[in-house]
Amino acid sequence: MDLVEAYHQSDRETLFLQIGGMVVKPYDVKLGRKQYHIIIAVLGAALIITGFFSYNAYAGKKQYQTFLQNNYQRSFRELVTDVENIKLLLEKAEISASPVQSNALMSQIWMQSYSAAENLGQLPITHNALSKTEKYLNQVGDYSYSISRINAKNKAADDKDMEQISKLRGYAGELLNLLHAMESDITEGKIKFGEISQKGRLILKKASKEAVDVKFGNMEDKFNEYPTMIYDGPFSDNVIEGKPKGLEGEDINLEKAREKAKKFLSGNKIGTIKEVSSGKGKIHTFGLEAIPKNGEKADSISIDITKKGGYVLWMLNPRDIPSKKLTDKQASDKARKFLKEQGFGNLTETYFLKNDNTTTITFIGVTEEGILIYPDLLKVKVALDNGEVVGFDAYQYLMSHRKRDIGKPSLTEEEARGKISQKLEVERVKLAIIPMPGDKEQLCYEFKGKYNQFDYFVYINAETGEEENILRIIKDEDGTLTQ
Amino acid sequence: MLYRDKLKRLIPFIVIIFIYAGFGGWVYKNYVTSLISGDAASILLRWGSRGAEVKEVQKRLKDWGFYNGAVDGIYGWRTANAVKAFQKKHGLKADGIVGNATANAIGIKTGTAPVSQKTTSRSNETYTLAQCIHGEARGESYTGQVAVAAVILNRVDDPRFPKTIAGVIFQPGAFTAVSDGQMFQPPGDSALKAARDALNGWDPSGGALYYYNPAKTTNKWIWSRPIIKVIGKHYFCK
Repeated sequence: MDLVEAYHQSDRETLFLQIGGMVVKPYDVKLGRKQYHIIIAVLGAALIITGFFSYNAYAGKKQYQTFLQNNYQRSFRELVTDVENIKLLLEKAEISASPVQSNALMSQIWMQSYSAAENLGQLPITHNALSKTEKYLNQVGDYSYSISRINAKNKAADDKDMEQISKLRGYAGELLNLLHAMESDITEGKIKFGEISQKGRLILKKASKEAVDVKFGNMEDKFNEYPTMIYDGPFSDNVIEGKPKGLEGEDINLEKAREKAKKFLSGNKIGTIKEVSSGKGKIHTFGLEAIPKNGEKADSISIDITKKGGYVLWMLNPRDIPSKKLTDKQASDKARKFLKEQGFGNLTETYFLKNDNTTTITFIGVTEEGILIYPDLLKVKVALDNGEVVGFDAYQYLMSHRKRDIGKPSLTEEEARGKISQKLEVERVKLAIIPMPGDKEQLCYEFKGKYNQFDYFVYINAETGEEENILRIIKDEDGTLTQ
Repeated sequence: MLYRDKLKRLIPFIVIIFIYAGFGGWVYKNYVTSLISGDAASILLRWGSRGAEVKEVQKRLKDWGFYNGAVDGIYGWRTANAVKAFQKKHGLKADGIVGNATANAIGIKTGTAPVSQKTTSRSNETYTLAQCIHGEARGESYTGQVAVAAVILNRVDDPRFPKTIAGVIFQPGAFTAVSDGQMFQPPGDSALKAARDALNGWDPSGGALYYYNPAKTTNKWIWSRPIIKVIGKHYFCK
């Protein structure tokens, strides 16, 4: 065998082996066919093992899918039952003439709609397809709760309320029709919730996802003529659309806003202040960013100045606060001094909360006669290393602060004291204006007292003598809060 | 002779089979199962983790003599070694990662609020909120993180959304970081701080209910919402 021949031979064998799919050095090739069979056997075994594992993975995945699907099924079917109940209860409420009976019905509607909204929120349907349905359910609950509060005073709902109830009942019927149609689709297997949750963009799955979305979307169209709901509750449309009452003054320009920001941050060594975005929420603002001198961009302080009147809406300084040197007393002195410098008069501190070496102090308004005004609320966050104000929030204050005409209470303090529970050991009494459901306010007597080692605030309506609210105070080394 | 020769040549292939099977098994155990069960989520602290929980681990391990570095809340090699030593001593798998079993043995709670934080019932919510912020907006400025938290809280107050923080966060498809499981990591200090500020009332978003990253979103509907604020990469809208 000469060299050329040997070369050709090895060349051919290399080729042969590469076709076989393995890179093996040419001298191994001499082993011939048997070796080749072994390779096939090894690959075969590998394939079987891989197959086994993938089957296991597949089976596991299938099991989880079924589990998920079952969960969605449960939420959906509970939703159907809840809406059935809501419809039935609304039908009954329509013809109820007794406040006691109505109260019981309304409380049940409240409970059922809460559960329905909860179940709806667990379904894998895009938000825009169900937001109006969810709003409907939450408002039905909130509204029926407000009526049950009226009923509890042994008053029946008025005609306007009854009209609303019959409208709401109509929507419950429509919603129920849709849900029943979907239910039969699900029973026939036309829609599977399990598939919806998959991330894949395969056409089939997408179609199924759209089927559910479209069906709920149809319902959304029916809600187009849904009435504006105004009542005494947190989800009342007038609360959601609420407008600031505390914004007075002329519109300002950016230059002026910069000046205001600079004045507010005077304690900081501010370099440049630039506008990063303008806020178009309930309160329109210049969104400014103040970069400290010799500071980095990451340390920049965010501050929003209202376009109308040029008030500071909020401020956040994210700097690290490495140590804690100030006492609680010193911190609140700093905060009070700061507010005075910024021209806020007549505020008193209520709650505080400590974390990350800062103290956040809540201030509320107080009149010259010493009446507390809880809706006029603002927060100041003080760094405990050097007493610098690192946070400020006046949203609530600007939403509600105004000159109020506070009438004389019709009840005397003694009369009000007779209305509270005898269990409470009263420590002090003050007059206070408190926020009420539905963006309202009420003058009350505030009784601070102790029961069973806990501190409580009890509020007695200064006009009617009704108990309007009870707050329990939570106190520990990190702060004082109410619940 | 020939037989032995053959056997010798078979050895590499047998080895390959074992390696292959071993690798397959390893992939199955560590990757596939964790993918379907979400087990990866239960790992609590590991090299590179930071925060109050790390501090707590360091403090306890120092008290028991496993650790002699600084109690600084940074999970470095010293902490990892100390954890390994602790695990060996207690018959746990010595991997230097504080998972559920190790956390229990050390005596810190897993998956709930940091132990050092002894505040009110809010601390549970704070932690979940912080996890969501961490998953959704850890690349954003501090203000951007507070804004994302504020959106979650604004949703709780709006009738079109579920009525609890957990309900909003875990609503199917509401947040990408929740859908893909990124949320289940210990949140950074900045996210925890941002969660607290948002719970305390700060809302840099101006009352927004949605936000999106215009570079990543293909959802047509969200583009139609009126934008009320832009912070970093996020557009906030009503």
